[in-house]
This record gives sequence, C-alpha cells and structure tokens, in this order.
Amino acid sequence: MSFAVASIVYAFQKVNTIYKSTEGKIIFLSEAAFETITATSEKVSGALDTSTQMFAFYVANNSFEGFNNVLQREHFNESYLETEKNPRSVFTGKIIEKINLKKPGIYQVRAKGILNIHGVEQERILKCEMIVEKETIKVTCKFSVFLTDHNISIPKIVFEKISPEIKVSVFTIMKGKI
Amino acid sequence: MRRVKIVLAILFLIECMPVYLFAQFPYVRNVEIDKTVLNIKVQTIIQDKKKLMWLGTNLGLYNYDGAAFKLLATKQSGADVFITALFCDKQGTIWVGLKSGKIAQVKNDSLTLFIMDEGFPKETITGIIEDNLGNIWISTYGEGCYVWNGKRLYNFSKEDVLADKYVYCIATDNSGRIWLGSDGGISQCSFNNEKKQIKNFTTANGLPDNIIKKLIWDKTGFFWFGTDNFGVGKFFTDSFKIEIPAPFQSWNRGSVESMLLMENEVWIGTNEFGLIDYEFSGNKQVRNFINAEGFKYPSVQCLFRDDEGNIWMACKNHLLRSPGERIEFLKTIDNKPISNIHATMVDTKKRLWYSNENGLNYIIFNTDGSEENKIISIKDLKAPYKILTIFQDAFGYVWVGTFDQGAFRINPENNQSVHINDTKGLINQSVLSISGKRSVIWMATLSGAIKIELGDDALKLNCEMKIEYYNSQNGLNNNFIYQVLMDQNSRVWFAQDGKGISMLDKNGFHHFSEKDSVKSKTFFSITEDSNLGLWFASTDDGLYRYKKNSKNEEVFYHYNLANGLPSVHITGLCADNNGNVIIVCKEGIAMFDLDEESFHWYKEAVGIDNLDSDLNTTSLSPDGIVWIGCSNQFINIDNNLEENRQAPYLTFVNATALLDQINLNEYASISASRNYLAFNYQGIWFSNPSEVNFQYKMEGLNRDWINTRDKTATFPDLKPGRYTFRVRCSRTTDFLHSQEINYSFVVLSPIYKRGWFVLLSIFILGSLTWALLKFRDQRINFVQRLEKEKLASQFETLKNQVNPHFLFNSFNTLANIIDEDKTKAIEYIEKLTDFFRQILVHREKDLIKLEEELEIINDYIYLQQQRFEKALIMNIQVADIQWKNLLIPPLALQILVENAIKHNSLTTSNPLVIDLFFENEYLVIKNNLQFKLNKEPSTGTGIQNITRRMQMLGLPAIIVEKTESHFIVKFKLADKK
Repeated sequence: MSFAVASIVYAFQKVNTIYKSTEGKIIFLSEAAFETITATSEKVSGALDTSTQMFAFYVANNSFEGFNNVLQREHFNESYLETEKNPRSVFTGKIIEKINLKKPGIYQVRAKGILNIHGVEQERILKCEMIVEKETIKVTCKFSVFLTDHNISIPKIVFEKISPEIKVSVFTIMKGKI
Repeated sequence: MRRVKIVLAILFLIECMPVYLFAQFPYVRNVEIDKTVLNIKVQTIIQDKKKLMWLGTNLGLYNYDGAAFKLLATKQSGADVFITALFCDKQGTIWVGLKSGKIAQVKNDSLTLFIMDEGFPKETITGIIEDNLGNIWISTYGEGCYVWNGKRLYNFSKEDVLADKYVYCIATDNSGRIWLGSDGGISQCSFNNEKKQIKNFTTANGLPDNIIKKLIWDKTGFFWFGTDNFGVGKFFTDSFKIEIPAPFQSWNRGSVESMLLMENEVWIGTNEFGLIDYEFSGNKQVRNFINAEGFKYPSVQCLFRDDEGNIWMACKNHLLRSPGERIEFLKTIDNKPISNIHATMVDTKKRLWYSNENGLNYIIFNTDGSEENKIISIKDLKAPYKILTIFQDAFGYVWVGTFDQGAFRINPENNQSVHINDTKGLINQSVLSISGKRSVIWMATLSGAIKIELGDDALKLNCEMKIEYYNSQNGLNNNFIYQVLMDQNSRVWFAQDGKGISMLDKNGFHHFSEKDSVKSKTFFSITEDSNLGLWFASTDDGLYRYKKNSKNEEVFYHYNLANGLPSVHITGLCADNNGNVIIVCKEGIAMFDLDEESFHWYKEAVGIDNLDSDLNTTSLSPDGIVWIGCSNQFINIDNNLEENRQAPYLTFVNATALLDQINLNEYASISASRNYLAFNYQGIWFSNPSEVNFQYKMEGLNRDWINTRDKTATFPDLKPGRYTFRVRCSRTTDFLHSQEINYSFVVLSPIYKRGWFVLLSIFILGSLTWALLKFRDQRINFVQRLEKEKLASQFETLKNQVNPHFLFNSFNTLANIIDEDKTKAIEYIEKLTDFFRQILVHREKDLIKLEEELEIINDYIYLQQQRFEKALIMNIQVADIQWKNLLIPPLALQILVENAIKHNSLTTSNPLVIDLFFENEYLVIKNNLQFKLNKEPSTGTGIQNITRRMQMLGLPAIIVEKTESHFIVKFKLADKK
C-alpha cells in the first residue's frame, strides 16, 4: 500500500521536473567568400528534465525561412538536408555539470549529447547559457556544424557560396509545471 | 555483536601485518622548492624530453634543472594555478591539468590555457595521457574522462556505461590501451573513429575494492592497482585475473595515494601510514617506513623516479629526494646503535658478519624486513676482542684474523672453532687479512705472508694444514704485508707497507715500483675485477689498476681526483660481479664501471659523507650487494639494478641573435646587424648538479675548448663566416666520453662588404665624380664666357666713349661754352670727368645699383644737352622707392641712350624724347624714331651686348620692341640679394 503511494508521489515529482519549450528560434549562418546565407526557424521543440538533467531538442528542417532567394531554400531542403528523408534535426543528451535548476540564476553549462543532422549522428559537447527564472528557463546555445561531419556534400559550383562551417545559434524559452 | 566482530577483525588485521621499526632504510633528503612561499604542496611530477623536471603544485607550475626551481608565469590573468596533472606528449608539449578543471599547455615558458570549443571540464583534472592514435585523454574527478582528438573534445561518463564519473587515475598498457581507476573499479576505454568502447571491472570481477586510486603498468602484462581501503594488487589485462600479493591479503594501511614501480620492488605511498616498500622478486620483503629514522612522513601523495634513478616523494608540504634502493643505511641493530666495525664479510647465506668490541657477530635479514643480531663466542679468544679480518673459505668455514691472538677457523652453524696460532706453526699472531681460493688460504701478517694449504679433509673443521712462509728472507721486499690476493691466473699479489706491490708467479717474485709507474709505496688492499684486471688501493695516492693495454702488455694505470675519485685516500676496495669496482673513501663511495670505463659516485647528496671505515670492511654479498661497515653504520649499495643515466644530459635551452630566438632545428644565416649571439644550454644531472662542467668551442673562432660552469655562452661580434657552436658536458673535468651537441650557422658579411654593393658603390661614386667634373667644366666655361662678354662690353663702351666724335663734339660744345659762360664750362668739364670716372669705377662689376646707373645717365644727358639743347628731352620718371634693391648691368641704359642719340635726328622742332619709367615690373626705356638722312652705321653690338650680359647673369632677357614711331627696351631687373 505504502509502496504504491510512494511510487505515485515519485511519478508526480518526476513529471513536475520536466520543462518544455514554448518558444524558440534557431538561426544558422553560412559565411562564404562570395555569399552570406542566413535562415531562421521558430519551430523549436524540446524538453528538459531538471532532475536527471536529460534533454531533447528538435527542429523541423523544412521550417527554415529567410534565404537569399527561393531557389536557395529549395536546394537547402532538397539537396542538402533532404528534408523528406530527414524531417528533423535533433540534439538529445544530458547536462554534464550538476546544477540545481530550481534555483534562479545564470548558469554556464555543457550539454553532452548526440546531434543528428541529415540523419548523421555526431556526439557533441555544446556550451550553453541557462537563465533560470521562477517558472522558465531560457537557453542560449551557439555552436558550429561542419558539413562534412554530417555527410552534407556541396557541389563544386556553389562551393564558394556555402561555408563548410555553419554557425548555429539556438534560443529557447522553456516552461515547467505545465 | 557486530561491533565486536569489527574490532576482532581489526585486531586480526593488525596481527597479520605487524608494524616494525625498520633499522635499514633508504636515504631521504628534504628539497626546498621555494623559500619565499609557505606550504607549497607538490601534486604531480614529470620529466620532459630534455630531462627537465616539472612539478605541479598548489601554487603553480615549477620546473627544475638541478640548480634551481623556476615558477612559470601564467599567461591569462586571473587563471588559477592549482595544478593536479602533468603530461609530456610525444611532441614534447607539456599538458597541465588544473584543480579547477581547466587545461593548459606550457608555451614560451608560460602557462597558457588550451582553449577548446567545448569548454573546460569543471571538476579536478586527475590525469592526462596520450594513446597510440595521438588522442589526448583527460580524466576528471566528477565528469568521467575526456578525449581530445585534435579537433573536438568527447566525454566518457556514466551514460556511456563508464563505471563511475569520479576517476582517480588514467594509464596506458603495453599496447596503448587506456585504463581508468575510478570509484567504480577499473575501466578500459577505447576511442576509435569516434566510437566509444568501455569495459568495466569491479568487485564482481574479483577486485578487492571498487575505489581504485592508482594504476601502474608492469611490462610483464598487468597493472599494479592501489585501492582506497584494501591495499594493492595485480590486475592482468589479458586474462582479467586479479591477484593480491601474499603480504597484502589483509591490508591495514588505509588509502593508497601513490605508487612507484621499480625493478624488484614497488613503493606504495599511503595517506596515513607512510611509505611501504614491497620487494616482489627475491625474498618478498615488505618494509613500512613510518616514523622510522630518516622518514617521518605519514602521507606520501606523489612518487616519481627520474631517469637517473633518484626517487622524488611529495609528502604534504615536503619534497623529498632519495637514491631509493640503490643505497641504504643500517644504523641500529636490535635498537642499539652500530659502532666500531673492524671487519665485515657476507657469507653464502647472505648473513652479514662483522666484528666490533663485542667480538664476532652476524646479522640475519628476515623476509619481513627485520634484522637479528647474533654474537659468536669463540673459544680461546680473549677480550679485548680485536678481530681484524673475516673470511669464508670454499668449504663454508669462517676464518677470523686477530691482532695478537692468531687466526680461527669456525663452523658458522655450531660455533665450533680451531685456533691457528704458534702451536699450529703460525710465526706471527697478528693476522691483518685472510683471503684464499679453493683449499689455499693466504694470510697477511706483520712478519710476512703465510700460505696455508688445506688437506683433502678440508671439509672437516680441524683439517690438515700445511703452512709456508714468504718474507724478506725468501723474496718479499718487506715483512709488513697488508693483504695477499691470489688471482684467477694463480698469481699471488702482495700489498706491502712502504715497499709497494709484489707479485709471485711460477717464475718467482716480481716487484713493481716507479719504473712500472707505481709511485705509491703503501698499499693495503687488492681486488680482482670480473674482467681479471687487478686493483690496488693506496693510502695516499689513489688507485692503481693492472691490466692489458692495446699492445696486450700488462701495465699499471693510475686514477686520482681528475678521473672522478672523491679522494686519493682510499679505505675500502671491492669488486662486484656486475662489472663494477667499489672504492670507499672518507668523502664518498665511487664505482668504476668496467663497461663505461668511468667512475660514478655517491656523495653527500645521497647522505654519504664523512665515512669512517676500517680497512677490511667492504664486502660483497652473494646477491651482488656491497656492504660497507663504518664507525657508526652499515651502508649497502645495490649495483644489480637497471642502469640509469649516469652523466648529465646536455640540451640547448635556446639561442638568440640580438634577443631574437634562433630556431635550432634549422641552419641559420645571421645578418651582420644581429650579430650578437647567445647560446643557452643545460646539463641536467639531478644526482650531483653542482658538479656539472661544460666546455664549449666556437668552431671558426676558438682553437681550444673553453671550460665553464656557466650555462650561457655569448659571442658579441663574430666576423662573417661559417661557424659551428659545440658544447659538451661532463660530471668531471675529463671530457673524453662526454656528450656533445652542436649548432652550425653562418654570419653574413655586412652589406658594405658584399661584392655587389662594393661594385655598385664604385659605379655610383664614379658617376658622381664624372658629373661633378662635367658641371665644374661647364661652370668654368660659363664664367669665362661671362668675363669675355663683360670685357667686350667694357671695350665697346670705352671705345664709344673714346669715340673721337664724342670727344670732338664734347670739346666743341665746351669751346662754345667757355666763351659764353666760364662757370658753366667748369661745370661741363666736371660732368665730363665725372662721367668718365663713373665708367671706370663701374665697368668691372657685373651689376650696379639702378641709382648709380641713373647718375651716369644724368651726367651723360647733361653733356649731350649742352650740345643739343632743346632737341633732346629726357624724362626720368622713376620714384626713389622703385630704385631700392634693383640692380642693373652697368652702362646698359647709357648704351641705349647713346644709341638713341646716334641713330636719330635731333632738332628743336622735332626733339628726341627719351622716356625712362616703370611699367608693372619692367623698367622701360623708350624713344621716338626720327631717322637721320646720313645714317651712322649700326654695329648692333649695343643691344646684343646687353642681352648676353643679362642672360649670363641669369636675369630675364630684355624685351626689344620697335614700332613705326618708337624704339622700346624693357628690363626686368634683379632684386638686390
């Protein structure tokens, strides 16, 4: 009897430790010799369990907007990311540092996880800033992705227009106790 | 009940590993890192490729070259300095792990953070290591371990099934695999093509403890591991078997903090129980040094052995250095201090026999590290005991020689003895030394040498003995013999007092003296080395050696201070079976290495100082250890160990040309303007840093080697040319076998000495001279021409003035005036003379003032007007102010006025009007034209002359305009400079 109660309480507590992202933004930037391309998506979804420090984030690959022209966006979806085959880019893992995410404050942490872009998984450690407020956690993370790491090949003709290193910035606001 | 069990268990454990106070101990010396700081705690020690030692401490990173500890600067301000891990990779880069989790490298002599995109760990770095793929592995206490593959940092932690994230140590095995010791046992990790593999080994696999604090690889295929609570053990990496050595089956020495593996033993540093020395080969002896003499440090955090064999220990805020197992001291036996050792001998059972005022003793060394002392009472030997020599014969019997009481042959197992004295036929009862081979025993006495041949019943204590005498009567030089030695070639050697060395072979006696280069007269000790060379110790003249030379003749060699002997006063001599000869003096113990043909030595730095040893106290044990008995201690020297570096290690630190670094890996061309060279080198020899000598020679400058102790050589002004800087380093003043390094470079000639520059300079100089000459020529021509023109002008003017017409007209006019007006006539003459005088005054000059020219004009006009009266009108409209500073060639205007009068008709009805005025910047002289009927011939020289003179003086040309009615000349005059 008491065991059942305890497990329910535990489950309840566990649920309460999960934060979900309500809004977010991913910006990527390619700075090549002849062209700078930037695109943004606001379709960022994610969850963070503050008790286990595990997290998962993803973005729909076809939701990126803001290329220099329509053709670029088409190439992005069809040739490079192949969004039909790989609809999402995902980062799942765990925060390395043990921090108390219930205590408001600004934390510099490192998220260790698997980054899946273009269906290719790479283990990464990403430096993030977490601003913990009463019921929200704001996460900012900047990192770079090398296209070769994710088997994204660029035709030689556009080589001067697309950088081999794509700079990515992620910003998301997460809310708990939903 | 349970508590009682624990207490019983603890009691049991204590019972199993009793705490001994070990009398025998390695020498330990305190080393001061930095006088200016308190509480400096060494955490980790490494040695880099140049043999420089690096010490990571709580207060920063120090390096040590033997002479001084140097604290490295930290590049980033505010960076923490608590260093917990150090590693030198294959390229020689030094990696530094900090307590804060940061990672740094040593760059340009300072600590520089190693920035990675992934950021630094936030927990203490416990270890850094490189695998055979070149990945750098970093273990942390709290975040598992990391791998840096040169591009990215990867983490191994619990999610990757690493047993635990609290990692204490990281190590590689023979095949370069990475092993971790953590709170979760031992883990093997691999990282290949970004794939992680982890295997964990825990108590479930037989580990005694899951907390593994230290892993040390043993080349035979296993790790020595040290645990938090259950001591040390072996973990075999192929079979995954775990083995706990018998002495550690029940451990009660707390946490293992550090471990050091040596040839035969492993040293274990504990947190509270000092140092444990486990001899795993041989007699499996375990010794625990804590509160022992010379070792009072309960906590040993770090153990490190340098490549010279010195052991470094960090014990809280002490840094200790020890020669380790190579030298050990025995100062007490059964808690009684050792004193007055007269003779020593180690028997075939490794018992150490010695004599002192108590008579004959021996020490038994137990496997648990303890010692037992036994006193042998010899029947018939009377006090006071003066045993001068101890010897064991081929049959196991121990012989002792006494002062005044003859010799004894003793059975060491039952103490029965035979007294060999006058009754047996011994003529002298003072036996100074005994030696022998097989059944032949030789004794040195104060009445010559005695040879005893044992009978066939030599296995019996009281066997048959045949005694023969050798003294001054039958061939020896002297009766005072210190030692007799029979060598492998059955020659018998005699060390004599005052008479040098004698030798007896099949052909009889041979005596060696100064003609054989044996200068010393008194020898007391002889030994034969493993290459059958013979060594003779003198009391005052060092060491003599008898061996074959290159011509295969046996000759004597002499060794003294210059060869590295600590002293020429030798007290003990003994050859071991590893190719060494051990020489004992008051100042230290030297060893001659027969392979290297050189000495090395132990001195004050390893606690060997002021030795007071008797003549027969240096003995070889069957296990190769040499025991030396001194007045207050035994010293044992183990030469069985792996050979360590025995000479300074010489490397360049850097080289500079006028403060700029030279890349010593490349041939350099030094420009003349940077020709101030400095070479810094180091000869690292931690064993005796103060004895390192250098010699350098700049090939191309120096003919001879220059001796120095400085670690810098500077060359302020090398002449252009090719050079090789050679430096060598020795621990003695003998550089014969010393290590040498060198660096070749070229000093370029200064630019003004290079061929092309010289040629160019000559060319330019030639051109300049030529141009100058040419210019001068032109100038001379010009001046000459000017002079000529001037002369021409003067001539012209004079010619004109002395023109008979002018004079005729002037005198005619004068004649008219004289009649009419006498005063006017005088005035006329005055004006005329004035005119001529002015012409004479000014004709030599290039330029005169306009004012002066106008005076001439005025005089001239006056003279002419007397003749033409109203037919000549001269209008001078020049304001005073305009004259100032203006210069004009002399008579230029006068010539023009004269021309005007000459070429025009002058009548009262049509007068000649001459105007002189300024128009803008021009002085204009203008007259109306009314031609004469009978034209005077015009030479045209007047205008031409003025034009040339103006040109030569560099003045603007005159402008001549001739209209129908007027003749106009314009001057642009020069300003007065």
